[in-house]
Amino acid sequence: MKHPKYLLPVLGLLIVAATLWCIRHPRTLPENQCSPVYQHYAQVPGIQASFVKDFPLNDTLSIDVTFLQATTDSAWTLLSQDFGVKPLNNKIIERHGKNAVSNRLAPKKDYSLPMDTTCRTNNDLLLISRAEQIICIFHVSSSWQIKEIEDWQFNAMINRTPLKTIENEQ
Amino acid sequence: MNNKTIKLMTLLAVLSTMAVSCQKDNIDSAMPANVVNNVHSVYIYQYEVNGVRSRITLRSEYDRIFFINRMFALAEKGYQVSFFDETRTAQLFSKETVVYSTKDKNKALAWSRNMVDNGYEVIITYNEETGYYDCTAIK
Repeated sequence: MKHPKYLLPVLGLLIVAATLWCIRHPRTLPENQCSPVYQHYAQVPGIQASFVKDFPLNDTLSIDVTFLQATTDSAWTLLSQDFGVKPLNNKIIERHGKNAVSNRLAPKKDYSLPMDTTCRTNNDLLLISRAEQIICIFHVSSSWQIKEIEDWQFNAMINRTPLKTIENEQ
Repeated sequence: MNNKTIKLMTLLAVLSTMAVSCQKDNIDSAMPANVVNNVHSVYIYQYEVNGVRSRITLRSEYDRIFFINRMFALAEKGYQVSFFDETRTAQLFSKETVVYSTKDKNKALAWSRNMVDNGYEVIITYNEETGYYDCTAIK
């Protein structure tokens, strides 16, 4: 039986439409595949939460990153408490400027605590910008990943790359 | 090309569309399945609303989020609101600061790694005028 003449063009249009749809709507993750910390803060007012799966740090390493930005002072107070972010004294601000970005290791189970010294990979690496009210959490699983992120972050610090470029690169 | 093949291709095109455009929030419930497992299961908050100070003990993470949302709701209505977790406030102020400066990028990086590994929070900036990497570690 011969197929109708219009069928092939319609099929072709369907495939093109599907392809365009995929390009315009890149895959987003179901919420239960995002990090627990993202799920926790996604519902808190005043906090803009993003989760980037496999953020390409360099040619050899991709890593999951949770990005939290407080849009109000109250929300920043909350984030500061939850992540143990200490105020910088005036001498430090004088030395580094108010836009300084810092990094530290913090336990995965509770980011407000000091680093878990029993095992490095019990920690995630936090990047903190007090001026932009941003906390970036790199979800690490090996010492090598920590080293690579520190190298990357060192160069970003020196080149003063704003943390918002991480969110923009997702 | 026969009918069977065309039907199969159509089905594949539709399936591929569904496979790569799953949306974030179409099936999940309002409360997340995985909540951050916080070591501190009891929180003691001090809060002030329009100058009236009070204290509340929150015995779960859900209570804490509910309390915080309530505070934000009051703030949005125009009340003057402030609150803090008194169990953690004592940890907020740094007791130890270490400074280091070098013109050598590798030394600055090695120092930074060492301090982070020892639990410090590290800040590094490059001073273009002096050519020094200024490093500060706080705990």
